[in-house]
Amino acid sequence: MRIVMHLEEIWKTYDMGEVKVDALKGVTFSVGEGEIVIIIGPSGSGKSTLLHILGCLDNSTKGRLDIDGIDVSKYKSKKLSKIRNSKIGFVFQRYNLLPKLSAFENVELPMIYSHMNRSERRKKALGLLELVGLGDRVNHKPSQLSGGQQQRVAIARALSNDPAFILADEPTGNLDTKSGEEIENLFLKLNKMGKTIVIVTHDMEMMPLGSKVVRIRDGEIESTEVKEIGSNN
Amino acid sequence: MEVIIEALRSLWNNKMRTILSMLGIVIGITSVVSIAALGEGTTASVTESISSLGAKNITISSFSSYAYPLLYSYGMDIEEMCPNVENTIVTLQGNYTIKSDYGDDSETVLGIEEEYMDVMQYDILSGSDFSEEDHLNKNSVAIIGNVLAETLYPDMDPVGQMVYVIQDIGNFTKKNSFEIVGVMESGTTNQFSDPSNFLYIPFSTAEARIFQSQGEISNLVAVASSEDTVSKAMKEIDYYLYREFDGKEYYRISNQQQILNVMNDTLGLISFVLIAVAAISLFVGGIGIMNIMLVSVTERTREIGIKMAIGASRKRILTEFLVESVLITFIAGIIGILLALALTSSLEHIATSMSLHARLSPEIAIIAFLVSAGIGLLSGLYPANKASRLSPIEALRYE
Ligand SMILES: Nc1ncnc2c1ncn2[C@@H]1O[C@H](COP(=O)(O)OP(=O)(O)OP(=O)(O)O)[C@@H](O)[C@H]1O
Ligand SMILES: [Mg+2]
Repeated sequence: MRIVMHLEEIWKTYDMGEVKVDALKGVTFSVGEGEIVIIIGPSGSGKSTLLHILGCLDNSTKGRLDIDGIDVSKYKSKKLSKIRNSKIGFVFQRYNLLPKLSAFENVELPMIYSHMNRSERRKKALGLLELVGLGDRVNHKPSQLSGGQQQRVAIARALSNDPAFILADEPTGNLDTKSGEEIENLFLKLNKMGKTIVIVTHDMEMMPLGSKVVRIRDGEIESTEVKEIGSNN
Repeated sequence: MEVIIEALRSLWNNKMRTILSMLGIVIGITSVVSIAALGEGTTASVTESISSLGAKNITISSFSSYAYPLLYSYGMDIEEMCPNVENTIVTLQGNYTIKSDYGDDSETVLGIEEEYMDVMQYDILSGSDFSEEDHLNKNSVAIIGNVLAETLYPDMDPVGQMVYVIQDIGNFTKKNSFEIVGVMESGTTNQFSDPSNFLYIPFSTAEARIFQSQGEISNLVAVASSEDTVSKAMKEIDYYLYREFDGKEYYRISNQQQILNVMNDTLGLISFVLIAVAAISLFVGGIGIMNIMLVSVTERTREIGIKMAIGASRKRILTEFLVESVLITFIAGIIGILLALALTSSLEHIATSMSLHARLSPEIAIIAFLVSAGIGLLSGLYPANKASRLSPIEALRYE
């Protein structure tokens, strides 16, 4: 299996003046192509911090991050925004849709940033909304959608520039069991389409989804379980 | 392009705030443009009314008419001794009650020499100019200004009618009668005294019958040979008068063009000061916009975080905010210019007696546009930069 993401001795220290908080203390692990990695651990253990660093939303204090074999830890803001735009699709617990834009416009936005032309954007956005099962909610504003529907719009948005990676921070955290399951199934579907997926979760129910489960505690990796190859199918 | 649409949308979504933040700029642009237009228009109309009086004319006056009255001989001497002076015009002038059989008025009586009407470029509307004999024989004839004629001879032709100049001498009055031979029109309306309101009589007649001036005159104007020699001619006249006035500077030599230049300079200075004051409101307006944009950046921190998370670059965020602030001031600029147009034209209508003139030249409009867009750019720069420097994750975490 090809390694597409690799973290090497990642440290994240929050300097709060008098006290320093080490949110990550030398985390090392890799993500293989086509994997679903589940990161699990108690609250405050550093899961979100780790995922933000993976998603180039945050810088590590120390350590090295390779994406597709390229060290991106020293990249400046311009290149990082490009990676976020084209290589990574981020899904948040709180959806983070822009409230004044419609579902369609939310999905379209990353493609505007990548300078895709209008007609192509339109086709792509409609196709993605269809894929997540919201073909009939295209012009709804986020406030007119249920939590599960909003999360599906967010996933469609994450997919818009065909990223290789989907990173999701507690994507089902705000949803009821049924909507949560729908989202899980969506991730499975995307994985079958070839996306590499990293999911942070509290939810033990999601564990069977992963081809690899990383347990994290107090900013350190406690254990890593890898499933037999093929047992996922 | 999408950036502009998005900015317009965001401004539309915050209509009230947008309007309020525009207000300062609108007021500033309106006042600056109105003042500039009024300044330019008034300068133009003053120029027009003065320049027709002849840029070549040099007016000579005495400050001390008792000790050093202007003398008839000065005219001839200056004509002779100053190579750059082509001609001189001497007049006698006084204010009297002027009567006809139909009305009366208190107006200026002017004693003029031959060719005065030609030199001043006045038109004879009916009748004729004085003849050579009129001047030689001190005939009792008069030419009446067309405005004065309307008062004294309503609805009739004054030519052939009699006109009377009433003089109070001690405790008896003297009535001088003249036959009107022509009606003149000055073409320009001078704002201070209108030549179309004067009564003109031959110089010789005036001297003998009314003024008894014994060689003294009221006004002396020297005409330079060309506009370029005005300065030289003035120096020559000065050289001559300095001796005549025994080395005392009790006289003044002035040129219409120079007066005009001084007036234009003064007007320019006044408009400049007013514009500078009005520009302060533009400055304050700019600060207002900066303030609003800063608030907007803070309010939209999460939105900025989300946009960055899905791949908006710093440049993109910067552009979004800059476009927004430039659009605010640009629209405000347009509104300001339109308001200034409305304001100045209504001022022109209301204050006709003040002879206000406005002229909104394209230059003023273009400068106003550029200035307002520039203010938007400047006042948007700091907030936009602040927005673009947010860290994506901190912006996302912002509540
Ligand atoms: N901006 C910050 N400033 C200071 N400390 C922070 C900041 N963000 C996170 N931390 C600290 O880092 C540690 C890890 O936080 P993180 O959000 O990664 O935890 P988590 O595993 O995602 O928790 P949860 O499951 O509750 O979301 C916590 O102790 C938290 O207090
Ligand atoms: Mg978390």
